[in-house]
Amino acid sequence: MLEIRDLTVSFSLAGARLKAVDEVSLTIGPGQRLGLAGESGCGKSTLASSILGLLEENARVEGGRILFQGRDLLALSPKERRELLWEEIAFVPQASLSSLNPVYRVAEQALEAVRLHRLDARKRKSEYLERLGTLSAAAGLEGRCLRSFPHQLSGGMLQRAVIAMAFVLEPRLIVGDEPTTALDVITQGRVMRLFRSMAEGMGSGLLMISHDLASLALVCDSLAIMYAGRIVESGPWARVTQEPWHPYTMGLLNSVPGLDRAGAAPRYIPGVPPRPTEPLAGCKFAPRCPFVLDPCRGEVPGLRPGPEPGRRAACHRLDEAGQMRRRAAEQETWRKKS
Amino acid sequence: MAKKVLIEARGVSKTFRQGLDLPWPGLGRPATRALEEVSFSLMAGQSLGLVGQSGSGKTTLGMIISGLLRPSRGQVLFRDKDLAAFSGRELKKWRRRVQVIFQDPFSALNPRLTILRNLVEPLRIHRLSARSEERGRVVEALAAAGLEHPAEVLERLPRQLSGGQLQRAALARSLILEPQLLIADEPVSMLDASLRAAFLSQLQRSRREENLSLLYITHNLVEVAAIADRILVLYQGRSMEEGPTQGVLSQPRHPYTRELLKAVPRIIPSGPPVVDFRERAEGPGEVEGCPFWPGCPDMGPECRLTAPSPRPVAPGHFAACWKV
Repeated sequence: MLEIRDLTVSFSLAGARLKAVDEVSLTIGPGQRLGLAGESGCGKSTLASSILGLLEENARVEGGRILFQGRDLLALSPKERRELLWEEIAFVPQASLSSLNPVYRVAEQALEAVRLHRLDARKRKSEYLERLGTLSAAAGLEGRCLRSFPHQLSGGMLQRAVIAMAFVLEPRLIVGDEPTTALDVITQGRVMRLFRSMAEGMGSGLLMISHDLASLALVCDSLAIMYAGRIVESGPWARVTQEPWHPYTMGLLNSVPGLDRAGAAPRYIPGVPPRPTEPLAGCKFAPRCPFVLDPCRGEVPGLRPGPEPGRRAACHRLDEAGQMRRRAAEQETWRKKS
Repeated sequence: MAKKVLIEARGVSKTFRQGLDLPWPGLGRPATRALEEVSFSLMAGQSLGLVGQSGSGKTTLGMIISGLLRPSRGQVLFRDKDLAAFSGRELKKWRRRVQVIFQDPFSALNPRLTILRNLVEPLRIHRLSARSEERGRVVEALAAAGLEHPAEVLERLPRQLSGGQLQRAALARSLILEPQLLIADEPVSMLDASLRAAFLSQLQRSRREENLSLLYITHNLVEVAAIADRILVLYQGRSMEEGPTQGVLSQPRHPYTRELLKAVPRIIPSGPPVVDFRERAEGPGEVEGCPFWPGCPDMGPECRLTAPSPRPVAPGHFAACWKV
C-alpha cells in the first residue's frame, strides 16, 4: 500500500546541505501497523513530513520515490495532495492543543475536513456528526467534549478527539508522529489501544513514529529502527524486540527500563548520535558501537536480509548477531574504549 | 546511626481558586482541590519517588516542597522547622540547600547567557566563590554532572546543546550549590530513550557522591524503580500508598497501585494489554469517598462514603484503602 524506495531528503542550512533521510526504503501493507523508532534528529519526522508533503521550505527530496497505492506522492500537485489527505491518508501530530484552532468548537473543526472532501457534507451534516459522535464515544469521549473548545479539554481528551477526527473518513493510512509523548502512562495506554482498535476495525495501515519503544509496543505489529537518517533494522515486532540483529537496536532495547530490573543500574548507549555535519565514511553507528571493526569505518552497510524471512539489518557483522547480543546485555560491553 | 529527617510534609492540602475569590458562597469560581492531606518524610540521603497520573497533584506537591507554592493547609518542615516561619535570611540559605530540576531542559537555562554564565549566576547569588575560581568550579560541576568535554561547552549558548547535554547542565547548576535536597520533576520525559537511562544513572551517581536527598516526580513507575528508595503513589490529590520501592512494586497493597503496575508498557508483548479503569468525570476532591472507587475492582459501600487515611500494612509501608 505504501512503499518508500531509496528516499533521500536533505536540508540546506547555513550554505551546507545536510542529509536528514538517507536512502530509506520501507513498505506498509494494508492493515499493517509499523512503528518507526529512533532518537531526536534521526530523520523520522522528516520521513513523515515527506509522506504528507509537509516538508519545510529548505528541505529537498534528493532522490527516491514514495508510492501510495501505486501513485507517486512526491509528484502530486497541491490540489491532488489536498484531495488525498484526510480521505486516504490522515495525520495525528504530537501537539494536539496547538494543532486545533482555539476559537472553534472541536466538532466544527472535525467537520471542516469532511466538508472539504464530501460535497454532501452540508446536507448530511447530522449524519457525519453522528458518525463523529460514535467514533468519539469509542474513544471514550463524552458528547460534551465535541461541543467544547480545545482549551476546555485535557491533553488526553484532545488527543482522542484528534484521533476520532483522523478516522472519520476511514483513511487507508494513518501517520502518527509521537501522538502520546505528552501523556501519562495510563492515558498513553488508552490512546494507543484506541489507535489499534480503530485501525483494526477499518483495516487501515498505521505508521507510528516515536522515540519511545514502550509506547509503540502497545500498537505495532512491526518495527523499523532509524539511526542518523538510515534504517538500521526492520522486521516483525516480536522478533526484532526479542532477538535484535543490529547493535544499535540492542542498545536501545537495553535502555528501556523494566520493572524486572528494579534496583539494577540502568543500561544505556554512551555517547551521542553523530551530527549531520560530521562526515562519517562508514556505518553511522560505528563511533558508539562496541563491536566495531575496520570495515565498519570504511563502508556503509546496506540493509540486507538475514536468516529469517521479513527481517533486515544494516550491519557488517549480521552473521554474528547472536554472539553480539549476549555481550550487549552487559553494560560493561558498552563502556567506551579510550 | 539513626538517620535524620530532612524534610517532612504534614497533612499538606492545596486548593486552587480560579478568577475572583469571592466571599459569598455560590458566587466565587469553582475551587480545585489539588492536594488533600498528604504527608511524608524524607531522610537525609534518601530518595522518594512521587508517582501519579496527570492531575494527581504530584507537581503541586513538588512545588510546595520547593517553596514555590504555599500549602492551603498543613506544614512543610525542613530539619524540624516550619518553612512558613522562615525569615528572609533563612529562606535564602534554605534555597541554596533545595534545588529543582524541571521537565523541559530547553527552557530551564537562560537562553541568552552562555553555559558558563548560567552556572556562575547561582555562585554569585550565594557568594560561594571568588571570581578567579568561578570558571574552575563550573567546569568541575559540569564534569560531575557527567557532561563530556565540559571546557568546550562553557562559551556555548543553551540552544547549541542537545536535550541530554542541557539536562546535565541543569543538574550541574543545581549541584554547584551543594544542595541537600534535589527535586526532579519529570527530568527525563523530554529526553530520548537512550539518553534517559544515561541521565538516570548519572543522577543516581551524583546522589551517592553528594549524599543528596532526592524527590523524584514522574508518571512512570519504571523510572522510580530505577532510582527511588521509597515510593509515594498519588491519585487525584490523595496519597494512595507509600512504602519501600521493592515492597510497593512486588506487593502493591492498593488496587490503584496494582492498576498502575499493570499499565507499565512492556516492549515484548506478553498477552493482551488490559489496563483501564473508570475515572470519575468530576475534578479531584469534588466527590466524597475514596477517589479511586469508580474504577476500583474491590469497591465496597464504605469506599463511596469516606476517603480512607493511609494505614500501616507492613513496616514502613502504608496504604489508604478500606480493604487492606
